[in-house]
Parts: sequence; C-alpha cells; structure tokens
Amino acid sequence: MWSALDFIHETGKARIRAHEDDLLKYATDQLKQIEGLRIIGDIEQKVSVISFVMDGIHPQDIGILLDNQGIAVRTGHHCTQPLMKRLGLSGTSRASFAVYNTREEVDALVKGLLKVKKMMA
Amino acid sequence: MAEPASIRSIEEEIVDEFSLFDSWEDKYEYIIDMGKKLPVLEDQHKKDENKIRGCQSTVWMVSEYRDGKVFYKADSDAVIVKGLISMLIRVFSGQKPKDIVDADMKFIDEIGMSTHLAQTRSNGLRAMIRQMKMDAMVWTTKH
Amino acid sequence: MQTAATEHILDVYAIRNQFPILQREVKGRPLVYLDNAATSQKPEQVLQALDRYYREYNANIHRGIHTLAEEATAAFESTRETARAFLNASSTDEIIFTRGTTEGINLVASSWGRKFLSEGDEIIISTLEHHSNIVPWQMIAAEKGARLKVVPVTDQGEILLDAFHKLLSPRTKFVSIVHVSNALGVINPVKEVIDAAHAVGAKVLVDGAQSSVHLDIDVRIDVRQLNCDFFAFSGHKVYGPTGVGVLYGKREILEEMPPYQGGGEMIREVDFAGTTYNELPYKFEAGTPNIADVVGPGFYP
Repeated sequence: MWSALDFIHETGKARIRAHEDDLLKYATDQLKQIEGLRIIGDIEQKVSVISFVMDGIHPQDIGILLDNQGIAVRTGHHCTQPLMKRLGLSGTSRASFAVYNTREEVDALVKGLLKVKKMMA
Repeated sequence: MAEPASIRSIEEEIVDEFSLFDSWEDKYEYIIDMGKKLPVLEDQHKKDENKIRGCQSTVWMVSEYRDGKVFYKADSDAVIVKGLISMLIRVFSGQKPKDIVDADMKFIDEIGMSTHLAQTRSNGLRAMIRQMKMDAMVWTTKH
Repeated sequence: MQTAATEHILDVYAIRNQFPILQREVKGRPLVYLDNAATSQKPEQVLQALDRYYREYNANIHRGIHTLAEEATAAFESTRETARAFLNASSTDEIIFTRGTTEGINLVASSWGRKFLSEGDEIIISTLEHHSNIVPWQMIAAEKGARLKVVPVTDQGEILLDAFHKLLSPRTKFVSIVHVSNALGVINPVKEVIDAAHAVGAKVLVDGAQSSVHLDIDVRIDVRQLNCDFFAFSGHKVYGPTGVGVLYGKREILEEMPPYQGGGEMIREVDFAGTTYNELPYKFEAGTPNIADVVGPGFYP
C-alpha cells in the first residue's frame, strides 16, 4: 500500500482530481444526451462516479451487453439496498472513473449504451 | 396424442438455430426476442416463495404436474434472463420428471452461453436449472 | 481533439502505461474499465513492490532480531508513516492497519461500542451508507439495546442536514457517516456533521472508502482539519492491493478502547492469571498482519 500511496503522491492528488472532474463533466454531458437515460445523484458536490438508469431496461441487461463490448461497469444495488429502496430502484448501472480513464473511454461507454438501447428496442 | 420431442432433440433444434448467428449481437438479440415473447406469468405467482434467489434480477418460477409431465411458467424483470428462461422452458416443459433430472444440458455450451453458468452471473442458468430439476424431483416424490 | 482538455492536467496515456491490466482485451475488445468504485487497478510499482517483498525481505515483523525481520519491520512502520502523512494525522500511533474499511468500522463498532454504548443510547447513520456501515451498527445496537437512527436523503441522494440536526440529542453517542457515496458519488458535508455531532458530545466515524481516492482540492482528506474521531479506508481502492486498509482514530479515544481481537503483537505480557495489552497502535493489530500488502516497495535498507 505504501507504493500505492506513493503513486498518488507522485502523480499529485490535485491533478488526479482535476482529471477525474474533467471526465465526470464530460461523461455527464454525454450520457444526458441519451434519451431515456437518467442520472441518479446529479448534483454539484460529487466525485467521478455516475449512477444511472435507463427507461425499460434492467441494469443487469445493460451490464451483460456492455461486457460483451469490453466495457466493465457495475450494476445492481452496490451494497446499498436501503438507499435503493428509498430511491424506488431495484438497482442502477454505475460507471466510475479513475486517474487512468480517458475521454475516448467515455465515448466508448456512450456508444456501448446506444447499442444496448438498439438491441433492447 | 403424439409424444413430444425428447429433451435432446429440442436441444439440437436450439443449437441449430444458434448456428445461424455469427456475432454476439445476433445471438443476444435472439435471446432478447425470446425474452420478450415469454408468456406473461400471472401476478398471483409473483410472490416470494416462487422467487429464485439472486443478487441482481428477480426470477419467479412455478411448475405443475399433469399426466406424468412437468410444466413450467416463469418471469423475470430482466429481459436477457427471461430469454434464457424461455429456452429452458422450451427444453423442459412437458417432459417427464426423470428425463428433466437426468438432462445434462450440453446445449448451453454448444450455443456459447456457458459464461452465463458462472456463479457471479446472478440468476444465471445454473440457479434456474437447479430449481427446475428440484421441482421435477419434488413432483416424482408426490406422485 | 477530445483529449486536449485534459492534456494540461496530466498525461493520461503515460499513466495508462503504468497499469499493465489496461492492455488486455475482453471479448475481443480493448478493456474499458469503469468499475473503479468497486476496486482500482494497480500500477507497475505496486506489482513490483509485492514481488520484491517476497523475493528480498520477507520476514515476520516486530519480534525478530535478524536482518530480514528488521528490514521488514522498518518497511512496515515506514508505511504507517506514509499513511499518517496521507491523512495528516498527528501521530503514527493513531494509524491502525486493518483488512479494509469494513474491518475498520467493525473494529470501532465492536470495541468502542462494547465499552461506551448502553441501553437507550442512539447511533446515527445516513440513508447513503454501504452495508458495511449499517450492519456493524445494527449488531452492536442489538447487543447493547441502543437505537439506530437514519438521516434521510433527497431524491438525488443529498442528506437532509435539517433532519440530521433534529435527530441529534444528548442520547446521540455515535455518528457514522460515509464521506462519498459509493452508489451515487455524492459528497456529504461531513465537516458540518462532525461539528454538530461533537456539540452534543457524540463521536464520529467517517467512512472514507470512496473519498480517500477522489478528494483533494475542494474537500481535503485531513483528519485534523475534519476533526473526525475515526476515519477508515481501503488500500485496494487507492491503487493498492486488496486485503489491507487503514483505520485512523484519535489517540485519546483509542487508548480508552478495549482490544478488538486477541493474539500475538497486541499483548504486553501474557500470563494465565491475566494479560496486559500493548500500546497504540499495536493493541489493535493482533496476529501477523498482511505485511506484504502493507509495505510494498520503496524501502531499501
């Protein structure tokens, strides 16, 4: 763990955060253009984690069809069942970004989700 | 009344159908289509005791026994899972309990869906097959 | 041109090269890994660190006088200093190595709760909590006859501070709150929560599983500035190995708490008539710790 904390220190926490914020903003804008997609937790004070639901499509179907395109997201209740119950959801799909993610990967996610929509239509 | 096709011959039919698809997209679109066409399960059956436990999607399944054969009905809130169930029902429904219990379900490998057998694929085929076989076994002990 | 915006921030492609797993393919496509909130991938230096530990200075720590044991101990304790600096804690005595955030929370719920909770006391958590910041509190509450209160949230997952203030009372003994929601990514106003909880005499644990890797600019991870009583995070979400984490606790509180698990290292002297416990932080580190995953490299004797 020492080396991991060193890695963060060397890269610079402020730079990591700025990069992640850029991805967050870019991804949020892109995802919102997908019709029928709704972001849960769409507020100012947040980190580069985007939870979303799509009209009429179960998160598990989204997860399976994205995986077939090489894209790993998490789907389900994220070990927060009481929160999901409060929000009236059985689960969400969650894309979370780290220091090594790129805008091209955001584009791949958006393309992947459009394909999911088309296949489920 | 003519005897229904055997489990193995239905499996072979499904394998033939899947052999027409080259891409994963086509395969999944076919499964999604089967999922959408799965007959509706009446709401009265959608209760906890008919649930197959899993992490992500909910699956309800009921079976009944008529003239020495087991008939299944099921539903899920996720479409791909429904498509998979639809295939299982096509293979198992209307078969004799013993044949259901003994079936090795080789076709799942043969159509390239064996990744769905993995433990982590919640409500994967494995859990559903286990439930269907258990139901079949229960019917044999009752009759 | 889409990448231009981040080029001035950091060279993401150079960083990607440090993460070997990002080169692999999944289902014939380049992997797009967007499940970082579950666990992050590991850079080359972490992978090499693990390898080097076992190849060069693997030994059990703290009790050996031979060279390898000394080197391993020095590396282990240097990591404690790195973790202290990461959180800006006052002393390495306040840094306890755990298996991860979950164990950190369980340690506090079990040890602090066992000694300081009694019937009718109240523990406050929020609707946003991960199961690991719910279940340990339910368990100790049931054991002690304490009550668990939950701060509600809006439809977007923001906690309702007014409701939180109303839940606070002299019966409130502990507040355990997540810094950043793993499910939604929303940042909680933990500073305000901590100050308000302290005003009624309650202790506060911050679940930093998600915040430890993300926050810096606008919300610093600085346990002294936050003034939280406990802060827990996991190594595997901050580009480190699985199976290791850190629990920060204020020294004066940790000193009053009974040990969590019994065994080696956490003792001063064992006698069948009774055992005395080691000083901080070792009191809470029973048994041989996960040395390899804690130390990594960086240490050359």
